[in-house]
Amino acid sequence: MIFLSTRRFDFFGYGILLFLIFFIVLPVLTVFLWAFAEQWFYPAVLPTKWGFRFWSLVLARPDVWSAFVTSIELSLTVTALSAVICLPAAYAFARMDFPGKSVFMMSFLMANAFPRFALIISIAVLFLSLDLVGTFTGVVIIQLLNTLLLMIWLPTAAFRAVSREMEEAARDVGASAWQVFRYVTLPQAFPTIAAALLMTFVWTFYETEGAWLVGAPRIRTMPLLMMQMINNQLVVQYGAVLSVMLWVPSLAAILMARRIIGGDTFAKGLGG
Amino acid sequence: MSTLELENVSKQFGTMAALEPLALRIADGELVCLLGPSGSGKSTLLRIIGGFEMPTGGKVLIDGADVARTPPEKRPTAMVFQSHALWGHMTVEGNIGFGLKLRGLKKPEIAAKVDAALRLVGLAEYGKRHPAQLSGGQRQRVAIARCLVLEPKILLMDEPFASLDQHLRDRLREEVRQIQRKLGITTVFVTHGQDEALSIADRIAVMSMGRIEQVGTPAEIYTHPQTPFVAGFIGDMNMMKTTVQGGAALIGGVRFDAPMADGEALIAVRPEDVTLMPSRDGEGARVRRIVNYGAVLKIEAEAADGAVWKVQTLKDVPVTEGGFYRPTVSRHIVFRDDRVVHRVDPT
Repeated sequence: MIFLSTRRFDFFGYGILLFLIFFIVLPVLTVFLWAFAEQWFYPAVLPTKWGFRFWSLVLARPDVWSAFVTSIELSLTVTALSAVICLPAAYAFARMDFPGKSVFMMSFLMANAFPRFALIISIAVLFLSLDLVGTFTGVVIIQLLNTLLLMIWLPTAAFRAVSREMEEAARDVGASAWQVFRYVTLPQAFPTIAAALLMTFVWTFYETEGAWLVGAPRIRTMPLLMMQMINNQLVVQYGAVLSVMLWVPSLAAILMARRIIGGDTFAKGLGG
Repeated sequence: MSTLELENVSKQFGTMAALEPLALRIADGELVCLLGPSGSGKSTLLRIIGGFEMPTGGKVLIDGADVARTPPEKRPTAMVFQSHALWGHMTVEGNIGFGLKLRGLKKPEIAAKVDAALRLVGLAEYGKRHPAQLSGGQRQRVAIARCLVLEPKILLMDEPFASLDQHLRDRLREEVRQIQRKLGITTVFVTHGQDEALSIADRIAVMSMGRIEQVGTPAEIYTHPQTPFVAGFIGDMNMMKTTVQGGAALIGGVRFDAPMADGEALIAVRPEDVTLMPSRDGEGARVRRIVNYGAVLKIEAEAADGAVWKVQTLKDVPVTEGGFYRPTVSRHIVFRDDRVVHRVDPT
């Protein structure tokens, strides 16, 4: 009986593994191969000619570099602003009582339940009259709106999870309200907040709808550039090279986060 | 060193009175237990002393100075929480030294004091660890060290050992008692365990429904309970409702002296004050159950009128289940209207 169930479990596990390999590892691998392929014709399993020709072609383009810089600037600005706005709000939601608290909390959810594209279009129309379309500020604002849900709900949960007794113990040994926050509440909530910041950064980096509708044509981010290249030129390698480049910042961010806060706490912050 | 006086302290949560106005004086170096069931207001009272709740009325005097409106960070009190409440992101040293750091002490001075505090609780080797790497008992020791290092005037303990197993609890309780004696620190200790209170306290304040029912030494509380609540809450007790007639009451075949007006009364008898003498079948009380606790036997015997006697005797007294015995009672207390009316105590 036990034997049977473990066998069945293994089968199930392998099934999931195959599924993951087929739909995640394989496409990622293909993109990687394409990025370093100079020639790859149909029946060959691997590229027939390897090389960095398309890398030098892509990296030589000034629009790639300016898009890369724009994307990084945009992501950093949005993440920083979001933290400044949302973290105090999250603390207020977690620890203070004020009228309309639950309505406010729900409103962030509601905005996200709405079809995003339609929402962004109506905002874009509004931005048109405010002269914000095609500006860095406009894109920052639209992407900031996207991050509100994540940056308020996650840190609110994190602040709420900090034990009251821990905070009281800090008061007890002589900490002022601010010192309690600085030395106990914030460090306790930090792994979750770091996860939220990281996700905000990565999401902003890869966001396309808002960036396109509000930012086009003057503000061009990496993902937008990639879409453009794929649409206009049927050279698979361009897209592949850009994909690998796009993968770098998120990988760097995740590795950095793991270094700073440790794998365990980080997973805990993401609910793992 | 330090005394604590509560004058007319009361606490209202909305319309509910959590604490009726009460008074309590704790002498320098004394360890007083607040003992009561959950909801009796003992934790609220402790939190008022610590500054985590503001009393609705009254004064909290530490060495004569009223601190009732002073926030916890400015009070000369230190609290050990039930959940230990150690800061998980700091090492043991960090936890203990945090209060000293806030007071602006220099690093070597902090290190010396932290080291002394760790030695005091027997954790000298554990300074560099994190709370997650300690056992439950060690964590609570660190929490105690974190309080003591600040040399508070009053030490507050809120059911500090409730989450530990019995064996560890007994040991830690003894250690706390020794440390408390050694330092002579005035201590208020909240517990709902009567064993804990009886074994650790200089005096016990028994609380019920927001009131202090009685304050006294463990012996006083045990042998001279002032209210039926205290009588029933501390230790085992036969509590029997009865009707007094002509200065006496008859329960389970035993005649109790009760020199008072006729009417309802409550008679309290400790199980160890009941002796069972063998009698003929059908007479006296029949033994329903015997539980052997090693040193003593706990017996339940049912009398003809339905009264059930809880009896405790030494183990070598010959008693058998199903046998008939005549109970005799050496001490008893008669309560009426929640007050002691009569007490028979030959010692």
